[in-house]
Amino acid sequence: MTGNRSHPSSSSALWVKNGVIWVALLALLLLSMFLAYIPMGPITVASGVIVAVIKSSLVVVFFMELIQARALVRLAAVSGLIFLAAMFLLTFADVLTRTGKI
Amino acid sequence: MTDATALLREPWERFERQQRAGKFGIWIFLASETLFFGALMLTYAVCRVEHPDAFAAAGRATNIWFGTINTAILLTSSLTIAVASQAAAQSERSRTLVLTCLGLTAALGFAFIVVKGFEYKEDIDKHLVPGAGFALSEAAAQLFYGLYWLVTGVHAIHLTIGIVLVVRLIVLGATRRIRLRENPEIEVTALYWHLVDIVWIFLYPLIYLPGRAS
Amino acid sequence: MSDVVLAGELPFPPRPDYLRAGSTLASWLTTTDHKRIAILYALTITVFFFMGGAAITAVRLELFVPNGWFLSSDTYNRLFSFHGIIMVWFFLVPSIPNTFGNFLMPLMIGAPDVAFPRLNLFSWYLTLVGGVFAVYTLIAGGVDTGWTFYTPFSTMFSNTHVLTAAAAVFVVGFASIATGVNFIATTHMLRAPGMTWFRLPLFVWSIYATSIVMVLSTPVLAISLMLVVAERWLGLPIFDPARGGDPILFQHLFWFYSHPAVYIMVLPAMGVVSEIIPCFARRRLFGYDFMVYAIIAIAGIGFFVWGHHMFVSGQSPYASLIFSFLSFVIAVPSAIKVFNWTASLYRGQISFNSPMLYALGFVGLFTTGGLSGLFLASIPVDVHVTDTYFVVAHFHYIMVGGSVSAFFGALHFWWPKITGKMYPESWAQFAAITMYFGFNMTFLPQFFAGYLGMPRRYHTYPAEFQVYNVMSSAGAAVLAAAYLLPLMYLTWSLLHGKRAPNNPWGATGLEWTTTSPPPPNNFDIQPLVDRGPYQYHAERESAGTDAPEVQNARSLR
Repeated sequence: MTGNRSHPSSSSALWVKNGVIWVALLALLLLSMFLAYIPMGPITVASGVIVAVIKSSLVVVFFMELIQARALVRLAAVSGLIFLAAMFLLTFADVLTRTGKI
Repeated sequence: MTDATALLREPWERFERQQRAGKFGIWIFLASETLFFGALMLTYAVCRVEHPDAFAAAGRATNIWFGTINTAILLTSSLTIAVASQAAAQSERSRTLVLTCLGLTAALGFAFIVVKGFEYKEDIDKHLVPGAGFALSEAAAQLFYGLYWLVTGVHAIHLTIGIVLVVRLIVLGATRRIRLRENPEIEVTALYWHLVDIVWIFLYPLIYLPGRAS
Repeated sequence: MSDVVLAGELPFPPRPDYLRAGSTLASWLTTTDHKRIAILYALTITVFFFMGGAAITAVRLELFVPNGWFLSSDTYNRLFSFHGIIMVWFFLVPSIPNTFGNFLMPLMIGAPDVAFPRLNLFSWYLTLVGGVFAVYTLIAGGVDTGWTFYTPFSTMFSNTHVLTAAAAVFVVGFASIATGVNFIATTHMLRAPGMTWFRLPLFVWSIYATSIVMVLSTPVLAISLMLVVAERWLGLPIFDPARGGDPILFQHLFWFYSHPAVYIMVLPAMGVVSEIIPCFARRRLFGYDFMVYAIIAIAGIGFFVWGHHMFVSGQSPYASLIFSFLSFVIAVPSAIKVFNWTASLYRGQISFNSPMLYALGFVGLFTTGGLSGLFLASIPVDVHVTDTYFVVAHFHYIMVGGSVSAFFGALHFWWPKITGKMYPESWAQFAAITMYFGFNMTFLPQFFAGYLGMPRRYHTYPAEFQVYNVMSSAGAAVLAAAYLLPLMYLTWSLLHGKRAPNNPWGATGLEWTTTSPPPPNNFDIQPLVDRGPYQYHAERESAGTDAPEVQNARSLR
């Protein structure tokens, strides 16, 4: 067997295992669509992105099998997010604190 | 496992290590793509924070049905390529399943492009192209659409590359010019495909959901 | 070859080294041997170095007199822009990583090649394609935005070839990312048995850290340029203020890459210096562990300081404070490295071979440049000297005094290994000393001119600055001569130089255990490592004159 990817051997098992995730993804998609029409102010805005985060996490963990990958691969996966977060954080430190006076 | 040595390449001495290196390498590339598309998301975020009302108005003018259907198409394509990749990793015979799923993936990807084409046509008819004659009155709504055309265009280019990679695997695999079973190229292609899907997962709420609640 | 044959074994059958295994053009253009790819890169960046140098020669000639004498303002703008674009992206960024990194990384870790050899060749071809765009831009008339492409000038007002210049940088950026992926995977997965992380030479650590920075920062540059192209070519509003765009956003995106880019340019140079100083001082490197932590700290913190390029852009003062503070913080690991290099000289048996001259020059010039960086990190000072020659002097001290010196140091140190030939040492020492003096003559006056108010990127200047400009231009002539000298004597050495032994410098490190030049698969016997690097003498002793403990445990005594 190759590396540490362990799989059920029958094709129907593969379909079931991944199909469950797919159903969840579609349900989340519809949820985000409905939530967008409910006026909750900033929560409405956030809801779309939060659902997107959850959907992406499902894809990454299950479809991309990050849950089975060794620590080094997971570190590589996460490293992009860490520096992306820094980019957002420090840019918004500027954008949100501009007073227009200086 | 001796058949796998046909896929062994310099400088590797053991196929298992070569596979692990390929997987590690593509994830590093995906980390770079995270920053690539992340920078576009940052651009959007800054512009939206600076012009919330114009972005809401512009978001309302998008076609949520095209967007939602296309998202569903890509999510399904992720399912099919995940099954293909996991099936290929097994040592038992799964060639038909792998080829079928790769075929479905490519077809779904192509369907996305077709739907996008219809959507672009509608956007042009509705004068949602920035410039003179733009449909919406808020100046920053043009900014939203400037980003819309660019980001969806870049995403479509990435998706097209993905479709080409998948079709390559199908053609080479069906004609037996490459071996599909345990071929690390399938996993690498699948991981790239999932990234393109994830980008769209984030683009969906940014493009199609703003301004719906008002 | 006899040093790598075990006692009692038969010698290996003769086999060609990597330079002679295949002599057709096709064997070079389709090679996947990291050593040949390194040579391809070396030739490419040398061409670009002289192109960028030619551009700035014209600029420095023009600046002899306050009101110019042979260039129009428009041409002047295009020349300094071309100089910056070529030197940053087509020389400095690929220089040490893609030439010495490519050649030495697998050798230093005991591997037969990099993790993805075909990707390595693809990187070089991408560099060529980017280069074609750059040369086209030059021939078509150039670009006048400066290497920084600031909006809205680049997107809406410049009448020059912004698109092809941006395309050139975009393409070569992906070569950078591909190289980074390759080197990271190589370092993790191809180390020889016994080569643990903390036995790696510092050059490997520095290339590894540089690769991480390349992979994570370059995509953002690609996006910043793509946005400029989208606005300029497709008319999509992104940075147009009239339609709500934010030009400062461009600067955030651009500098998010371009500040880490300077660490891409300096970390490999630091790695080179860490290889050369222990060898020519015959000393173990002082504080190896902290040198590693410093490399990681510089690479990491380097991502959080970019706003110090934007203190006067309209960025919020609160954000500026954060960036200023972090910019002071990042000076600390660099200082640790300078202290450790200096401490490595203590009680050493120092010889002033040309690589050592370049390395010592690096330490002094990098320190000067780094200290001037602290001045710039302080917001009140920066407001005064921003966009003056003070800044120009600062970054040239680090990029040229630092990185280019280290590049030449590496060139001389590993020339015997790469080519199998020795160069004439006296010429090399003369060139190194000339370079040091020429460099200081060129750039030291610029600190003064800048502090006294002379703006950068200006075609003309008030007469009171002429004395500094004349000194600087005269120094540039000396510097140019110093750069041409190695071109001549190194080429001479290829034809007439003495044959180099495996280890002409008596250095530790796996690359010195194989032949000069190495065989195509690097090692005739798989190296097994059982000790750390830089073991020039026993622990707790000062330098001796005994042969050092080379890292390959299999060179049995």
